[in-house]
Amino acid sequence: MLDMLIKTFTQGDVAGYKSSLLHSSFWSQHNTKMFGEDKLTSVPLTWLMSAGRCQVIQSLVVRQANISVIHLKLKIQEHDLPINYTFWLHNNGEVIKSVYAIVDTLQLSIAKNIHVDEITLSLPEPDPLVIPDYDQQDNLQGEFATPSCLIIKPCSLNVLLDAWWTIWSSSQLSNIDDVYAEEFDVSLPGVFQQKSSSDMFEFVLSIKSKLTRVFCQLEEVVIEGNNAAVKWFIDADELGQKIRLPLMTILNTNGEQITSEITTCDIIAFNKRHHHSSLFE
Amino acid sequence: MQQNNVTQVYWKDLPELMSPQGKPSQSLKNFDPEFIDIVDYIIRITHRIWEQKNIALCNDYYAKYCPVHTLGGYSDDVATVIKNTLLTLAAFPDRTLIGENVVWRDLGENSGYYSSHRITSIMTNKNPSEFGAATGKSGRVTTIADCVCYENKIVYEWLMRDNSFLVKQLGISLIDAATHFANLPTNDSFEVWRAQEITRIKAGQATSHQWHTPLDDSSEKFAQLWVNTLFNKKSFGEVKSFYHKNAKLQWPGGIEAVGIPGIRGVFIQWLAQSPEASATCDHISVVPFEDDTTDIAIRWSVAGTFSPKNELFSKYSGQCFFIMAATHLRIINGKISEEWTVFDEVAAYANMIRDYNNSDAKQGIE
Repeated sequence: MLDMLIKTFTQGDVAGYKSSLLHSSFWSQHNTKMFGEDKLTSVPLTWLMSAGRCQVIQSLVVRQANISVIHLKLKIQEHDLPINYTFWLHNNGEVIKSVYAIVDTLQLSIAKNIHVDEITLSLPEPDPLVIPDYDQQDNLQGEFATPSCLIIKPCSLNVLLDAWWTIWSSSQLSNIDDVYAEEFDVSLPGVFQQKSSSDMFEFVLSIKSKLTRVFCQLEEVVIEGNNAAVKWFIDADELGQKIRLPLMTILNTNGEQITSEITTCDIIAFNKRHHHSSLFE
Repeated sequence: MQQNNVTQVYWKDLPELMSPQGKPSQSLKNFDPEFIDIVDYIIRITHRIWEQKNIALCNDYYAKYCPVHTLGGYSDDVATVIKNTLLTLAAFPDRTLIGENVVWRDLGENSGYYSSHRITSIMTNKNPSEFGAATGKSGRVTTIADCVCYENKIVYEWLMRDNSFLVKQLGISLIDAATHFANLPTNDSFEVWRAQEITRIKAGQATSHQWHTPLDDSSEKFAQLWVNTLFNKKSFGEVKSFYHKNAKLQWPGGIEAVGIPGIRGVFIQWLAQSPEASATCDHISVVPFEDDTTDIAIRWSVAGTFSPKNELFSKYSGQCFFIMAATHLRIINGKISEEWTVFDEVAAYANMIRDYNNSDAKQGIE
């Protein structure tokens, strides 16, 4: 799957890409779920139109059962700044049933010096989304998903992942110093390589402080060895309207602390869906 | 639930589905011998009629008298099925139907099979449709077609399509689409059926379409409880006993939720538009999926009085609120991991608009 994605998204091997998909496969990206040959073929073509030929400067794979989470850090020709592209593939080793992908379009905009408006126009219309209002409080029910309750098999990372999750789910910012190793790499949306816990501290605060009734929901957690991949989203109120921000995070650990983190979200697609939002201004 | 050899579409590509190599896994009495099981029958005839545009095959695969219920109309002759298929293809020429799942039930030798077919359709709106003028936009929509298949023909159908999700992608507002739809002619048979259904559902009576072949006991209880607990009792605290903490739910019009609080919100907000509504569980099918996973298909109905939250619909307050819906549930270790619920919100609102337009209240205002 890794080779296929690299060949497709850096060289344009559309035939190899198509042969890995089923008639019923879908590709979800930029808040749009695409079905059918026409739309599926447009995914790599649109990427190559925007980014051109590019190189992989780092790749990561976290695999468990039928899920492969692949992260590519891509470098566009004649441009130095990297772009994060994360793929969450449901596959059986031969074919892909579904893909949830997040490409950091703000990084693309910065790397290629393309105006955000131009990127916005090039993105597909987001799917209609209705987020019915709900009580985001637990009310002593123990109903919220945590990493450890989604990891079925015994896992040594449970405590660490639960502590990491509280940074987002409970705004437990003081856990940042505990869960991250003293020297760690973090790659955050729209921002290039960061290296300190204060960057993480500020990133969490910058999101939380602009929103009310924030609720973080885990969708899936994949564990392979000392690495974990997490698919999640933030629901919140912003200026009285509901917003949803999908994210993917890949965590490398030394078993006790996180040594690197890549968190990807598609800021421009988010802004296209939520016109009123000033979350990333 | 014990696995069987009936076709499972999930990991199969179209060429494999169109040329099944396995031995027949069901008896399929008086079906064409080319079909190996009811899933194969449904997938292949759908492809032949829609993708391959062999609309005339409806004559072969539908009984001459075949009641078809939607929330927006009723027909019972194959000529109408052909006409409607043709009109849809004219409005959406590249309409492609992607079979996502078929949840089926053996109804016994003298009744055939029940199939609940979940489909994702993708299409471009190139000509006028039931929702208005052509928009040139493309969209996708989830449909669940529940069919009774007997001796190689569909003899009864309930068709649910998420039209509100489609019209939003086409750039048409829900109220505009519903108003346009309400102005299309209806027929007496539909209105009689709708009135009878509303009376039945409010009284909590079972539908007359009952089959007595056995179902997986725990799955049947689960489905009945899901309808009664959430829709009738409104015991939303019990959402956690039905759903996993990261369960995913898709409802009409683009409603998406993950997790207990969000899913609870979907039920509360939706039922708040008809707080005293009653629901009936009208049919259940159960099939094994993979490992510890079971798929349940439920057809259900709701009837009550409309109490809109959306100001645009406020003048229709007090009209009869009626929904015919289908839900596919994927159950892992006794709880729902994924849910797809489909009904036609456009038709539901159109019915209330039509009722209002025909009512004395409207005459009085004017």
